[in-house]
Amino acid sequence: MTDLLELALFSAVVIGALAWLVVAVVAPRRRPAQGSPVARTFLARAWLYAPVWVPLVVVAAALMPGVAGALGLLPGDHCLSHPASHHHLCVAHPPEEAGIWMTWALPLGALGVALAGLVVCGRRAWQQWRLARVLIQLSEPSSFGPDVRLIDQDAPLAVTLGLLRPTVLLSTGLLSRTSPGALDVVLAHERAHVARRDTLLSFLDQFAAALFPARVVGRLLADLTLAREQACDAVAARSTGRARVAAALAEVASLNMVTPAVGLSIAAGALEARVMHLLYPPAPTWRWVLAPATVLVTLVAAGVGPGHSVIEFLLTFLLH
Amino acid sequence: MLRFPDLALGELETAVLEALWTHGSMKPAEVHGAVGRPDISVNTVSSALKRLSDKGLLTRDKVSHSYVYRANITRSELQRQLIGAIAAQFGDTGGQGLLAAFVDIAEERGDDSLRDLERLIADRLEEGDE
Repeated sequence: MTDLLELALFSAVVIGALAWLVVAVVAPRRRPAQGSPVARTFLARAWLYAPVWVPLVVVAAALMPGVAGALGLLPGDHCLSHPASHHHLCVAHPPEEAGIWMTWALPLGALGVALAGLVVCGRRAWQQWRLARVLIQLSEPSSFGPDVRLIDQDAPLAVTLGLLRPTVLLSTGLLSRTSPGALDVVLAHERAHVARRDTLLSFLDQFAAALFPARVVGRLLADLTLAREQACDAVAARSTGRARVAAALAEVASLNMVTPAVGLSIAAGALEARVMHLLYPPAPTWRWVLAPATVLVTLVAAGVGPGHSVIEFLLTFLLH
Repeated sequence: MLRFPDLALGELETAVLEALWTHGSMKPAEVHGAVGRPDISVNTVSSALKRLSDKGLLTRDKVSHSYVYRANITRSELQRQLIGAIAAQFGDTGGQGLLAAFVDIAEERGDDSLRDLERLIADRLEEGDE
């Protein structure tokens, strides 16, 4: 069984590397994403996590003929139609040759490189988490509830900060200078971040992005941030109406032009995109599902059909 | 601008800063009293004070035989530096890590484009929002 694991791991890493290459080449050339925040979030994450989910799908699909054969679901024995020297991706007929250095060295090398990226990202993430904890400790309770705390800043700031139980931090400058209506919008928006676990998900996205050069995934991360903000704007709009959310955005943005604060930064033009999305929301459609569904079906079909044979051929070729 | 290790304060260090912000200049024993943690010795508080002044967050003056500490940074300034450091942590990647901000603050945006947006929003509010 370890032989099968060895070959499955080997195949997964080879396919993962191919998926990585496709993302690195195609993602920066992608047309700007359209549609609802849900669609754009799904598509951006599909690209970002491709080196993980693509090999899982293809290898699982490639194992299917063997599993189906072992369970007697397929007529005849798939493996017996191959020559004996052939490496099988099969549960019932595990590969005979194993312990070959290349089947371990290649995946371990690739995983080592990936791990190095993750460690660098993890170190930054840990530092950010430590700093966030200090900032929350230095904040003061508010009258809005235990989830909302105040920081003593003239700049109008509203941030959600933290991982499992994020805290909303509002600046005293925001409270004193925004209208009550706008403040309601800000609170509803930030609480939507908490309810959606946005900061935790972005934190994970940051790790997935660490596997790529920044110029490849910069736009994917910016897409995700914009979609996330628009989704929270939409939640806030449920109670106040879309135009009022847009007005609150413009109000806080104009205050920030007077007192530019510390270097918080999201994608350029994000304010405009958010206001436009609120005033002219795109018509709801499910057509965007077609492209990812086609890709998924193709990958499964490729895994079961040619993928299975190609992987077995590749193994046989590389290991002899 | 302070950097990561200097800004990553422990619980006792923030408690010490809080005490000095509230009471002004104090000797270690007074800080110990103000922090109000009987499980922690004066010596531990002293070394926290020493660490904070090494980081430049406190100033210490020798008065007769002992040191008197006072905060070298306001709560507001420390918070500002922390927000800056948190936002900068993943700033170069296009992501934000564990932070989500309501509107961007460093965004390049002309006065005019904001005026245009405000006009659009005002029109929509006049028409009556859904």
